Amino acid sequence: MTNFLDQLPKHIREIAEKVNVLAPEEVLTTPKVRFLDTRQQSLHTIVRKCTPDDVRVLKDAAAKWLAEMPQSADSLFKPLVNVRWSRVSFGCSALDRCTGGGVVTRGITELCGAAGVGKTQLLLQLCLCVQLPRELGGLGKGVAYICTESSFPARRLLQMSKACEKRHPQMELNFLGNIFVENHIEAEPLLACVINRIPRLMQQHGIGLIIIDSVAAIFRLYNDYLERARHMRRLADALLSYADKYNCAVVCVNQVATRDGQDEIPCLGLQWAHLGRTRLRVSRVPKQHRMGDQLITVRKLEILYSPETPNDFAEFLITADGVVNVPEPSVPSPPAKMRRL
Amino acid sequence: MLSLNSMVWEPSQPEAIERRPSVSHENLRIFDKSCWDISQSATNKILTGNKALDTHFGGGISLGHLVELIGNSGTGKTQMCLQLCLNVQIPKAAGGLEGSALFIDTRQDFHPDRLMGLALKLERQYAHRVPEFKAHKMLQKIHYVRCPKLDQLMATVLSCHRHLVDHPDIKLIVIDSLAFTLRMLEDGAHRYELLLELHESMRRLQRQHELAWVFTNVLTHRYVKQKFQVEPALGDLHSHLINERIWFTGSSELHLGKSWRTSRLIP
Repeated sequence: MTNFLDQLPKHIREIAEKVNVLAPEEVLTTPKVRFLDTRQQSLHTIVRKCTPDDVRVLKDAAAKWLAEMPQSADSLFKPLVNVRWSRVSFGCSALDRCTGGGVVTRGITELCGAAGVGKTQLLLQLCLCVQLPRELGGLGKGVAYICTESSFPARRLLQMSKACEKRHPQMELNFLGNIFVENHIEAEPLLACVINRIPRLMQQHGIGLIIIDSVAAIFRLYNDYLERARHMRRLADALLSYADKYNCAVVCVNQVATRDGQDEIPCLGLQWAHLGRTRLRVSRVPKQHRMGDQLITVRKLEILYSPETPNDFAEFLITADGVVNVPEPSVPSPPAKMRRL
Repeated sequence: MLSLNSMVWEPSQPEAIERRPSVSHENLRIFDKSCWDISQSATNKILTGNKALDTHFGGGISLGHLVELIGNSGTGKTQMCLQLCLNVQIPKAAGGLEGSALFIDTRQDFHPDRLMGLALKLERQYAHRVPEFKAHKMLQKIHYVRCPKLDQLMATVLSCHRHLVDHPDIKLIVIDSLAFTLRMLEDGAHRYELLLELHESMRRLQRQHELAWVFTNVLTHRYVKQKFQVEPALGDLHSHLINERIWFTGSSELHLGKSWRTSRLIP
């Protein structure tokens, strides 16, 4: 591959070298004024003055070097291209139907809900499902799990993985061995982990799902909102670049707050809301289901927004085996009066 | 700062030299249109599919405009972008433009299945008038580029003119979203310069080709006089450089206007 600068005319190349901007990426993201700025140079070195046109030629050459050819939208359905829009199944048909097949491997999916509604349970289920092969709704890849609130519920995961092994007995997967866990309780180490360590992990192991449980615990502690917005953007930028490069799903957990009399508003405000692609909310339904000899509260997953699915909801239960559908009630026999007619 | 001089198109590139008419020819073309001619010329508008908006704009978004869609997440901006990409292709027999569209995806919001769903809906809508207007043909005429990073966005916008030479029927270019990658830059002044450069190249393209730019933007908090105010991102100068701004609110109502205070509800 030839060098970008070598193909340019000599005087254009000198402009770029003068401000030490050599890569085509840098040329495009350097403002025009920096090329035109002559304050830093001594008078006798300015042999030829740089004009705005020269800068335009330079930028145009860089754009030509970098630009990708647009694809027609129908070619996006072809195999190998459509893996960009693959999904990680929840392993529960009601949730998959409502979300259109699970969590998309594009952008950040945000899961919010009050404490104890089962956000982490859903995440654990996703951790197991992503390891299944594609025909069973997974990606056949591992998980990077960053805990910020409490320690990772490994024992609960072991219990769920046993149920999962029972469901798919032909799979010989070491479910727990493919989940890489880190604990962080402060923003700086979290950003360092996401920006430096996750790329290394992704090169060594196939990672199909990145989970941060939860972002709210870290970012709610900030007093300086401008700095908070900057850090959130830095985090999201890194996560999005991995999602795009490795086709992995990214799930971030958020907490909820009460504001202006409205219940269960997701935290972190507008700044965070813009960074997500899909927002899901988990809540309890005032309804219980009898299973065996115990009563289990019914929970609900709502789509608050998503670019491709309507704002639907689905109900589910959390049992010892993980996240399951609410079983259909057995059809009650019609009342005696009706039967006689 | 960018001087005014640098915003003006200088005739150093070959396209500009070709475009520049000879002096005598230029004299002939000066003031050759009367108001009447303009009022009688064919309208080049892209239907938005929203009744109120179409009546307000007199048939949709005009070619030659920069239109910004603004609103919070989940208010329907991306859907409107996709819908416009399809509506620009409505055949001439049904009063459309029969063009094609370029979709620049920076937020990873695009989903081909969603586009297919909207295309099938449009196909059903026009089935009785133009039966040959099929969904799979519509998808062939939408060009898609993804630009996860700012340098790729700059490269795509700056090299749009090359793509337009290959596909002269492109009438609409959508950036979803313009603010997203730009705001990832942490230096405000730097971001502002690059935004102006994007505007410059968008305007330059509009002078050579008849097309509309549609891009999305988000609302943000701005710290003014020790108070946080909700304002459109990307600043005030950007608001002046665009032609139309359509506000999306949660309750499927659309407002029109450059700033929220001066905007009006479209009935």
